[in-house]
Amino acid sequence: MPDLDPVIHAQARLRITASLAALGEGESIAFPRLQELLDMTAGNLSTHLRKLEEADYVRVAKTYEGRVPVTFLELTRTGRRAFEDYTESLRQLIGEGP
Amino acid sequence: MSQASASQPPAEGDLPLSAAAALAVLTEQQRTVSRRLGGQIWIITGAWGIAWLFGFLAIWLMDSTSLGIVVPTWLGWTIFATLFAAAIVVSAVLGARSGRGIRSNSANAFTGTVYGVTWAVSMVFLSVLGAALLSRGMSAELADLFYPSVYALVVGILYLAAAAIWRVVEMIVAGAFFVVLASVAPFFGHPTNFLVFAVAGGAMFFTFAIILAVRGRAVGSRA
Repeated sequence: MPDLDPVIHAQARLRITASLAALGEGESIAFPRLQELLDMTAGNLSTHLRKLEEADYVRVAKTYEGRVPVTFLELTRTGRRAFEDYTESLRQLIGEGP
Repeated sequence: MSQASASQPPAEGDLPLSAAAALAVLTEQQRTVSRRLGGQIWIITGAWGIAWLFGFLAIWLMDSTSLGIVVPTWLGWTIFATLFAAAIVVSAVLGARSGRGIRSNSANAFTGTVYGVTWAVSMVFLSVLGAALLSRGMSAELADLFYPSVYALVVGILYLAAAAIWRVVEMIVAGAFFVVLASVAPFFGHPTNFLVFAVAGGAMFFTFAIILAVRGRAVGSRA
């Protein structure tokens, strides 16, 4: 039985990671838009993003649009690979995988 | 095998999930994201279908008496220009809305910008080419065959380029269709070539719009 990555395997972080993985490689998303796609509170989203960032799964880039600070988020290569491995493990666990 | 395929996902936060519930959450979330980011493409495609069908039909009716209706020249061109302008506006507005808050790295942004500018530049210079040919004696009747075909040819080739860049297999079908349509339409002569563009081009866009809408609906109903 494969072990499930504990960083991803929690509802909130799973949804965050899945959303970021649905973007194309090299695409990042602004914090408010991600919050909208997830329907999570800003505080809750920040907390889980911090854990993903600590694991080096998510890259956080702070920038300015005019004078407004905007935070952009994207999966790192490590994060994308971890998500693919995680999905593969899930499929194996429920008997869909190879 | 999962012991927990019947269990419900927990409400929120940090609680661990069963494998089946996790896979359900994952699939659901990715569907939501792709629907919100690309769910309105069918409307854009439909707007182009309306422009092609009714725009080219209006031009055809300026010169054809087959239906017993004669559309005045000013009205035909007004309908054509309005519908194509409307399709451009719909594409720009919905495209910008779905891409809100999404940023590309510089390599992707470069590809997107070059591709977008190529559209605009091609459309300008095919008009210049037409003007050059007219200045060297191309007849008005030949111009009526030339302009829509060269326009459709550019559309087809740019769709094929999009298929190659973003690896969208359906775009190969659309691109090839417009290349063939552009090349074959002049054989029908003027003004029937406009009818061919209206019906075949319109049908192509509507087919794609329906496929995209049905796909989006299927995703939506499971969400």
